Amino acid sequence: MKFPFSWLADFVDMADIEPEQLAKKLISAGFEVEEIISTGVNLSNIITGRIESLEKHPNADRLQITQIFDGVTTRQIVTGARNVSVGDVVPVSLPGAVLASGLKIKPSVLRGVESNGMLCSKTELGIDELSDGIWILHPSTPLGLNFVDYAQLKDSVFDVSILPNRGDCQSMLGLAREISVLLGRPLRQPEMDYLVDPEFKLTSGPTQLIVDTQNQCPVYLARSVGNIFPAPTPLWMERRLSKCGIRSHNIIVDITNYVLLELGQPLHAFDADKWEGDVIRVGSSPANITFQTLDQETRAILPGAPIVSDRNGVVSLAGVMGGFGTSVDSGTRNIILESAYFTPVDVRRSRNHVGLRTESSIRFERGVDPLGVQIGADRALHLLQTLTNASVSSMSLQVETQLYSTLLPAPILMVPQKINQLLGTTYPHEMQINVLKSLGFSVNSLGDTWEIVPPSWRCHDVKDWPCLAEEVARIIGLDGIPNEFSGPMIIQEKATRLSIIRAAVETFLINQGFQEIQTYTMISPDDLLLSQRPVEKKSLMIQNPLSVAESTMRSELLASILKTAAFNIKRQISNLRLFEVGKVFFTHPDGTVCEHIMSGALVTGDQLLSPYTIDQKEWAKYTFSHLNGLMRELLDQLDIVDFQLKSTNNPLFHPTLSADLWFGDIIVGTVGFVHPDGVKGYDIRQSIGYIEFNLTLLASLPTRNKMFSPFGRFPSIRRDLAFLAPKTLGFDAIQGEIKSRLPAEVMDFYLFDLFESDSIGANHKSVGFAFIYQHSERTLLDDEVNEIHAKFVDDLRSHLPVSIR
Amino acid sequence: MIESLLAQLKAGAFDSLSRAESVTDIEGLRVRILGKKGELTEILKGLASVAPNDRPRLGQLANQLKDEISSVLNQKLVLFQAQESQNKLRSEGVDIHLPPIRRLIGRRHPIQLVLQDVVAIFSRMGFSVKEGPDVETEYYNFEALNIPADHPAREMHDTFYLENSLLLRTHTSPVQIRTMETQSPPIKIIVPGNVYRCDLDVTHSPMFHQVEGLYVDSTVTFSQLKGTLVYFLKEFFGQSRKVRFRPSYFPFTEPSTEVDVECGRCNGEGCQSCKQTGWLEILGAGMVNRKVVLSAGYDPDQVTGFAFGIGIERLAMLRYNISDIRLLYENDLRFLGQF
Ligand SMILES: [Zn+2]
Repeated sequence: MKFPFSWLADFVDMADIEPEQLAKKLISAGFEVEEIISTGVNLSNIITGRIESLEKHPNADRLQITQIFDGVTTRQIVTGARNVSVGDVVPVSLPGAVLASGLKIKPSVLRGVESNGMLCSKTELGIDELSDGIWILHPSTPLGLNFVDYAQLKDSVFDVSILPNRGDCQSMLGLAREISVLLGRPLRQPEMDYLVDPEFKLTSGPTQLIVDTQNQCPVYLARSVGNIFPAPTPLWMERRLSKCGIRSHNIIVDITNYVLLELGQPLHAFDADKWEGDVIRVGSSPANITFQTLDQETRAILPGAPIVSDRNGVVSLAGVMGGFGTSVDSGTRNIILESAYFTPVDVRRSRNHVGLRTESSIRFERGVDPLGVQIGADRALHLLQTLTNASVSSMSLQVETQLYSTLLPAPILMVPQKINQLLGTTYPHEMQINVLKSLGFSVNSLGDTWEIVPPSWRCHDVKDWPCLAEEVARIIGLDGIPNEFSGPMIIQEKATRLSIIRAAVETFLINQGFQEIQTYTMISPDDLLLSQRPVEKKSLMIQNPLSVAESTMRSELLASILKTAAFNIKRQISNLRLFEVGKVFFTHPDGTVCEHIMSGALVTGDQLLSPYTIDQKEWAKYTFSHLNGLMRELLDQLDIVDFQLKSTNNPLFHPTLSADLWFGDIIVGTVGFVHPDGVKGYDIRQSIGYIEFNLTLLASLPTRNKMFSPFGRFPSIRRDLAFLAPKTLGFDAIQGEIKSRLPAEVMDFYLFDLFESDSIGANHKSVGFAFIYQHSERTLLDDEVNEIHAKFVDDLRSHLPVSIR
Repeated sequence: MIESLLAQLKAGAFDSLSRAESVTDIEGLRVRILGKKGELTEILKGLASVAPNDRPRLGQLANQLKDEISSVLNQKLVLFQAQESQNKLRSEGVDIHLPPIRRLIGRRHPIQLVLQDVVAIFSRMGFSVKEGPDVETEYYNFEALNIPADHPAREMHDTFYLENSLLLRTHTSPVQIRTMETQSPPIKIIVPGNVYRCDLDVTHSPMFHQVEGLYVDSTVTFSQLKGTLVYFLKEFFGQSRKVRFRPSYFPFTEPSTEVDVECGRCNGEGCQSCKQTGWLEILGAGMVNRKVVLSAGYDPDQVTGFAFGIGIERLAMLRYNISDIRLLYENDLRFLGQF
């Protein structure tokens, strides 16, 4: 909200205070000054003058020669303005004057005609970005005035972000109250006095008030005012409204807006002559009601929203906006002035429904001062009488419902020692009490405990003693609270298996050259078409997504990582190793939502940065074995053994170049190449390798038991075995057969040779295994090993369809 | 007779030695002259026919000659060995300026770099890491945190809703309640995690990261909150940066504060990145509201606590001078490769 420094100074003497100084104090008390807008800094020597004559410039079609009278002397000024005529009162910059832009005015000769100054537009005086012509003032404006002061051109407007709980500070007086405490200076109240004319009675308008909606409107006050003289809005008022971003309409509307800004009490004026019937009825809206608001828009009212009606129907969407039918215009002479309290929740719902945020609703929503209803009305009556000579009728229609008394603040018990305990301070009790008193709280000592009653304007936010601690802390200043850095020793909890696994996976992948990425967990439903998810894993949809592309919670990490790969490949970065550890989401048929943490690592392109020899190029290509190897290395690091690799049914993956990682009867990961069809969907034309783990599941797996077993001290002997096997005989089958028949003396065996060639026949492959014989207690003899090995080979030959080479 | 044979041998040997060019030549000469069946041995066979009293002298002469020749042989051998090994190494050389064989370099994402730093600093102060679900209920995300259904604060949390009145958490604060419900004080935790708001521009992302902090015990003070946050901010931004606490408002804390750090770009003088204020808004904090303590099942007269929330993306943007938050989620490798 905007606060002109000059307006605040109405309530607190700030003649010796610099705006920056005030801003600092406000910020430290919880009022964030976002910006200070200074206007008219350069201006000087601008007065008001009247145009006595206008004549054409003899040498220039676009110029006119004016004679300007300032009450004492007449000056000749040449102007290019089109919008002026004889008798107009305008701002005049005299020779020696400085305009907002810093331009200095000097006497000059324009095309042979002497000119002593300049007629000014609002832009030149620094208040409008763009203005159409010279600023024409009201003809009653005194001549020869110091216009800079008169029009309050020099000012600093504070843009303050008022915290949601400080509705009481959405007004000049509200913030000035805080300032008076911060500066330790008295607060001046605005003038409220007016005379009631006991004889005066409006001939039209209501005479009765009925409040049907007790809980939405705890207090409603209507005053009738007549004989309003249609005076122009005084410049000072117009200027203050404009500094706060409100346009001037007519004197009546301007006064209600002025009081709203000044005191924070929204008011509404109905044209009494447009009122139908004798009754003001405040109630809740029935269903299906539309209504034409002030701005001549027809709006559908939220059923149950508070409304004000006359005999013909709705005249105001209470607390939000008045109706067009009873609105005040330039011809209005008699009004019903409404000052009321509408409950925050109801106003918020109501304005939300119509999509309006008005100055009035902004204040009701955060809660106005329940005692402000009377004060606001009085202030408006004072201004109406002072500025328009209005007659105030003695008729005052007021209803206070039962809710009203409960709005007023209840006493809070406060123990100053507890405040110190919460803040970690040693503020003397008297100091705390004084702060509260200065803020308008009434205090009453009950010994160690105090009974504190907040002022009416704080009834919405101060309800418990920590609020009082907050008041004490912020007024004394948070900087005054020591920075304590001690306390009881708290032992950190031990890391979970999941967090340990997560860290290990991340470290492993980074060390293997994978770049970490960070993607949204929301994806497009199209991304999911890739995978025909099993029904037991339903996706979660966002009801109000920002876009379709981010409308579904991902149940697969792959979609996010593939998209990132596609993004980079499109930017000609085609050698990629990417990974992300992130959440996936799905719903079980019973409705429970599951969140699992997955790790996904993607490879594509070459695994060397830029291979340039044939050997390097060959080596740089990814194969299934590379991916499988990476997965095994990682599992080794995680001490996870006893897993099985099985062909995958996952439609996202290449049917023969991928596998699922099983542990018991659950799949904990997948490795291999992504299905080429899926990759094409992302416009990627290179093969994509992918290794995925479900870390949530991995974390629940048992790990290898770590117990030392001594290694053999005696020399080992190697025996090789090479054989031809049918191509269809899988490695798993061969290895399984070997394992089950392995002599006890074999410590280790491994594949050392595998090839296929025409010379051994198209249906066969040559397989070579090395067997390491070793005894734990003695050196094995050659002959001994030969004998064991020969027997073993015979055994194998009779159980596998192979021929030994 | 033998003397002249020895002299002849010597001359011949030195002549051959001077023409030797390799280790192989030297080894050949050693065998030819000094070997078991070599020239010297042949001459010494003649000693048998020499007068006995001449034998010692001639024997000595022959030994001298043998020493002399083998010494030269050895010298040359060392020389040729050195030369030949050098030649061999030279022939093995490559162009050291050819491009190296390189693999890709793995790096952490800047968000994670910052997150790790933040977590590490608080870990040093005894905070344990806790996590919670991204998909939350209205109760944990709002009600238990003193944000009832019609509270204006709900509007400030532009919330993504799912089916069955579930939602994506708008802050990591629900984990405060979830932890307090299952543990007794003292609780000293930080909660890193994803949070969501329907908002998108250069400083807002629909998903972002927060670290929530909560310390609850019998007598936790605002003063300790200040001490903790000042320590964190100075560790993170540097010891010389000033820290400012401003009173603020959050439904779930009271008193509440927002904490600013002196702008590093202008050293507090005011510049574009701090909107001329000299300060950068970093985090929100406060003493846990008694209603929140109550909804977690504790007695607010027995337990006090502080809580804070830190936006990780904002920290990352400040640390690495990133002006558009969307860069963080685009994952362009030309961007990620810089951290
Ligand atoms: Zn700055």
